[in-house]
Amino acid sequence: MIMKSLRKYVVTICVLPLLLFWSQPAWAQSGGQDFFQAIGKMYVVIAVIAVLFIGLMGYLVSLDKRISKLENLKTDGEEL
Amino acid sequence: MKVRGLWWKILGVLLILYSLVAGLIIPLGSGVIAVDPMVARAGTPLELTIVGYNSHFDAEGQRAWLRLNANAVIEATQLQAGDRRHLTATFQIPSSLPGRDTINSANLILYNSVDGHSVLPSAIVIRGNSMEGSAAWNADLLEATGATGFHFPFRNILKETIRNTYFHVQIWFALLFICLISAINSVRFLRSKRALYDFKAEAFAATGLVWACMGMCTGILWAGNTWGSYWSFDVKQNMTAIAILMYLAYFILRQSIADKDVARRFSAAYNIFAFLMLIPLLYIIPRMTDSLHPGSGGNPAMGSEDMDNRMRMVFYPAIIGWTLLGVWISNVYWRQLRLKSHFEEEFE
Repeated sequence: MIMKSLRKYVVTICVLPLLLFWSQPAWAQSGGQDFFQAIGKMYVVIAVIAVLFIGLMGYLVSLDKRISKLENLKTDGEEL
Repeated sequence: MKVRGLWWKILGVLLILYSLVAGLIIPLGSGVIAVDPMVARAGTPLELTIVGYNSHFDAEGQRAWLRLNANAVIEATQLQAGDRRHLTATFQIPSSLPGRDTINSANLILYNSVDGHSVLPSAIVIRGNSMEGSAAWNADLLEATGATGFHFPFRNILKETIRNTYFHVQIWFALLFICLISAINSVRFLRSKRALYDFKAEAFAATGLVWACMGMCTGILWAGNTWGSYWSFDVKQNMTAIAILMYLAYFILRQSIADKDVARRFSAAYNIFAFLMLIPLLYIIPRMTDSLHPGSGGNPAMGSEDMDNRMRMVFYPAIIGWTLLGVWISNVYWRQLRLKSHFEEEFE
């Protein structure tokens, strides 16, 4: 049960930034161009940090899965 | 509850935190992002509108020069600062230019007491040349002085993205250490045949692969917004793609051999070769040809203007921090592998 509600949060957290990135050109064209020039491509730095964060989280999730597998193995002694 | 080797884990996290905070809040130096017009005629007055970045054009002692080469400089006759970022400079361009070229590209150099010097290379093209002569091009430049305050260098194409040095470049340096540890453990496995070393080699290779993927994704984003193309088939980009495939092959090799001992020995031997290939792929081959990356084709890397001592104060801690974080995650990974192997033996 907890895993299911957790999954919902994870999906929201992952999808929201993607939506923001895709919608970026729309508001960049409508007068936001000056703003983007004025901040000197700072958004690239933010995007790069976001990629690092997503990469780390992805790695953590895969490790989590592997350890969950081991835990299940310990309780019922079934095959791996 | 006790966490093993807690101090260096905390150190790693603190160093990454430091690189994030310092890398984001220290401002860039001043620079020039645009001038208008970009073409001028010899022998006519030129009113140049200048847009600065992080600049203080209204500060004391503002001066401006146009520079054709080391010996040919003219100074603006009149300066009017709109605000900190906008400046109008009037130049009287002489009718004769040094050299015989009728098209000359000039750098714009600005100075004030707060920003120090800032330069826009090839800011303007001066056309026309009635006769060769450099008599009028004899203004003196102020001796180069640094700016007040602590900041990172301003580069025209990079702008704020120079900060990616701590978020993209650092990960490739950390990866080298992670893959080195993986290869060392493979050597130890081949010498002792203890499974523990094989777990460690696999775990560090996995972290190396994740680091490489992160490095590549961040690089793609950075390149798309500065070099103008997400993948420009630059030699370093291609070589890193090969390196990632090489390490993917390591994991495929591990899984494709049914006999566990054979798989471990094969993959250990392969891992050593993969690391030995990583060095030429990432550091030697890209330096032998022209590349967009610094450090290639006579384009210096660590000693150039792309990296100064202020940046090193953030860059080196970032490398250490990401290496330590990688070691930490790898340790969790191999402990999991060791447990799995225990259970497998128990239930067999």
